[in-house]
Amino acid sequence: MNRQTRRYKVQLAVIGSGLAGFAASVFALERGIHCAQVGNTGAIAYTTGYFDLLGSHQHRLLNDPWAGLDRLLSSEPDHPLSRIAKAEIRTAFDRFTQTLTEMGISYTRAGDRNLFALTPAGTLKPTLSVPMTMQSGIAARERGAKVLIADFWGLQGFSANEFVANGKASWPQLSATRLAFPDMESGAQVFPEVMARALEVPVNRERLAERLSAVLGDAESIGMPAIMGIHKPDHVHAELERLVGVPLF
Amino acid sequence: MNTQETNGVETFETDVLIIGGGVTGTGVMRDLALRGIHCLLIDRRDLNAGASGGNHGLLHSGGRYASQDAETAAECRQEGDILRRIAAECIDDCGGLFVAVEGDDPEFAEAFSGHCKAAGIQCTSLSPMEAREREPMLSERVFAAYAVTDATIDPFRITLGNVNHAQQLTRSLFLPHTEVERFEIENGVISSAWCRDMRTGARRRILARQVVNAAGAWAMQVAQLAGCSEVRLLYSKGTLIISNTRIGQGVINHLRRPGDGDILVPGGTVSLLGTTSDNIESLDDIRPTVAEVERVLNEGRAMVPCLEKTRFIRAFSGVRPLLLASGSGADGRAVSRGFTLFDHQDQGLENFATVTGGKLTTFRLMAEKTGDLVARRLGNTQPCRTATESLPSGDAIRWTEPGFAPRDWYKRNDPQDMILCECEMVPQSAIDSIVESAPGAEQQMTLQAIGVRSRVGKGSCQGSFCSIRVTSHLYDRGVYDSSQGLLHMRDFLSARFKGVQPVLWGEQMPQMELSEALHCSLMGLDQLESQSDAPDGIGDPEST
Ligand SMILES: Cc1cc2nc3c(=O)[nH]c(=O)nc-3n(C[C@H](O)[C@H](O)[C@H](O)COP(=O)(O)OP(=O)(O)OC[C@H]3O[C@@H](n4cnc5c(N)ncnc54)[C@H](O)[C@@H]3O)c2cc1C
Repeated sequence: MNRQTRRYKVQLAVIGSGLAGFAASVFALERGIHCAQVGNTGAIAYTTGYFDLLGSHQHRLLNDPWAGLDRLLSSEPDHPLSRIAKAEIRTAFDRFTQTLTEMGISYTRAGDRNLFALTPAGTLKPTLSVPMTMQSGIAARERGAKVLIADFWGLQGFSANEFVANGKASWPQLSATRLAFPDMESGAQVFPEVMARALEVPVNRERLAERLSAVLGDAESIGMPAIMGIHKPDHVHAELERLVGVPLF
Repeated sequence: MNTQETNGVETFETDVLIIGGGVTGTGVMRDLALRGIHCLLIDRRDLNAGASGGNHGLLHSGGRYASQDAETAAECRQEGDILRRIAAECIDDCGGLFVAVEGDDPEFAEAFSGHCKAAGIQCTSLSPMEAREREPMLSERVFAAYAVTDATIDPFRITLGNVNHAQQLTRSLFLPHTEVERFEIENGVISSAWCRDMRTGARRRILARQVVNAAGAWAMQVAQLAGCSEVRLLYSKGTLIISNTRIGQGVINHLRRPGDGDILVPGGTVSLLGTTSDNIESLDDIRPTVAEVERVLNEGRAMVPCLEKTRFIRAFSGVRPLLLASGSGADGRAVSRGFTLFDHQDQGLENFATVTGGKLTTFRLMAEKTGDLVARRLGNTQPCRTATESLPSGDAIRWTEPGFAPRDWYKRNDPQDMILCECEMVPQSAIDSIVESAPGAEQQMTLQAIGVRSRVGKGSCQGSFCSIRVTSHLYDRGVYDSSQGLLHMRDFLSARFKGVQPVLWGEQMPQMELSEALHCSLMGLDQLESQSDAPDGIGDPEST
């Protein structure tokens, strides 16, 4: 392999490409600092994409993370979150989600309350800001809406049955279905990255939308594994919703 | 066998109740079934939940005991030969070395071959150079080396094979998570054993003509339930660590008086280094500690310096039940590794026997002696057949063998049969076969139970990924239909973490950070209980 040394002259080098590194670069760029970020994608591929502030304190789930911060300050004064002013946290959240939104990955704005966001296992997770693509799922759960969860032949690690089994206690109107993804019908293993990429192409969206519409019945909304686009998730999500005619998450 | 319900208590009837699902209890089960006797085996947790699932898996040549305990040494040699014949599939006949390094007692090393000879153990002297040719990672400071006929044995395969065979022979039965709590004794006879289902809390009553206590380190407690005080045990805890690759072709023993970290045993694709030996008072909450791991590593490095840089994926501990004869001292290693069969006749009991102590290597012999006693008491004249009758294999019991799952998957050549555990290449079909028909399979099998019956979660990710995939698969198959499935997954991971936590440094650290991110941040497993406290999912009703 040809390993050439490449040289960049910048004002700031950010080492690490996790969320912290990414945020550091964003804030530096906002200040007009010329920077370069290095690192591989690593664990970020396994995250929910939810931005938490404080979900629980001493084994209690928190509705109000900001009040939770006060309790954290008294129980753990050395906790990193105890060292930052609330106002600063709020601004940082806003600026970060704003930047992502401008990049085509819209986020909900951090509010006063935690959102109880859905996990792939159908459990709930307290968090402060979620991608807009997940927003309708949270809303549907709050309303107790009739929702269909779809999974795919050959896709591992996401089971609509599992989602429903875990969610149904607090959300009885859930049901599960299994679909074949367009052009991936053999039942052999399929991969979420590949599916997400395929949905960037209009014709695949149309074909998937047809299949979703066919199973929709009287459901108000459909939930799916995280496959809605990879480069332009907002666009893919909006297009699919337009084609199926109900909110998707 | 009859099962009936009286006053809401499930009652079972059998010829022989066996308490303890380790190699000894399951060995007794098969031994008796081969004589046509029906058995009911119970374990408070699961198969191999005790020392049988927490050992080195070394099929001792006897060399280890040759210098101190010639009787045990000879027993090991004989039993090793028998097991090689009847259970070849469970054994890796990899051979072993005894090596002394600078600083060890040269006289002890010198005398070794003589002691082996006296016990009838094959032993060949090697030059340090020859030893390093066989095992190149041996220290350059080795000054004496002997080759012996050590081998490794898979205790899970043995146990599953025993139960499987007994089920086939006499429809004997194994009940997991069933703990004996109390015996009813009338006129010198145990008339019934009262048990509790550890998962549901339900009570069970077992009517058996004979009762065998094969509860390993717990045998003293179980004997006391029957009012028998003559079973006196010393609990000796041992801790081992597992490397993420196999280090060495065969077994490597430190040629000195037994001490910490002086045996390195290959186990398929990994190696096990151990063990410590510490007397403990209580059998509750046995877990490996950082200090024990350090001790094992420090000692092991003297023989095999590369252990310094080896990645370890997990530690685990087991408790040896050592029999305390009156007058023997308190040093765990000096107490005999022999076993004892108590017929409890002196205590006035006609139908109770206890067998404990011993080794994995000698489990068959322990079972034979126990089987002889129990059969005689039942008036059964069939001889023991375990020394000649091979342990049959079967589809549902082969998954603990490293490399079996990928071979089987490759042969099936079914593109829809997806791999769920990537480290050990365990596909869906393997999980389906275990859930359907492995010994102790139940309607709602836990991930831990599946782990005991396969290699799921044994690779370097230690269950991080496969736990999620296997759980999803079980939901898809309808095995799980409530949040119980996720609780099983959480319990499996917590149990794994007990063993991972003391070896968290270097490369294993980021692996576990990733695991935490997956299970807590992504799946919310850490919040499961908090959520079940507040069923609508929203906790903290504006409190404090
Ligand atoms: C660290 C270590 C390393 C070892 N290495 C080797 C080795 O390399 N080679 C070798 O030959 N031997 C080795 N041994 C010894 C060997 O593991 C044991 O001798 C053997 O496994 C004992 O098996 P067992 O069936 O008698 O007991 P166990 O396997 O301990 O089984 C007892 C069972 O009884 C159950 N039980 C307890 N109480 C109750 C109750 N009230 N009701 C129902 N069930 C109950 C327990 O859950 C347990 O599963 C080692 C031991 C240790 C601890």
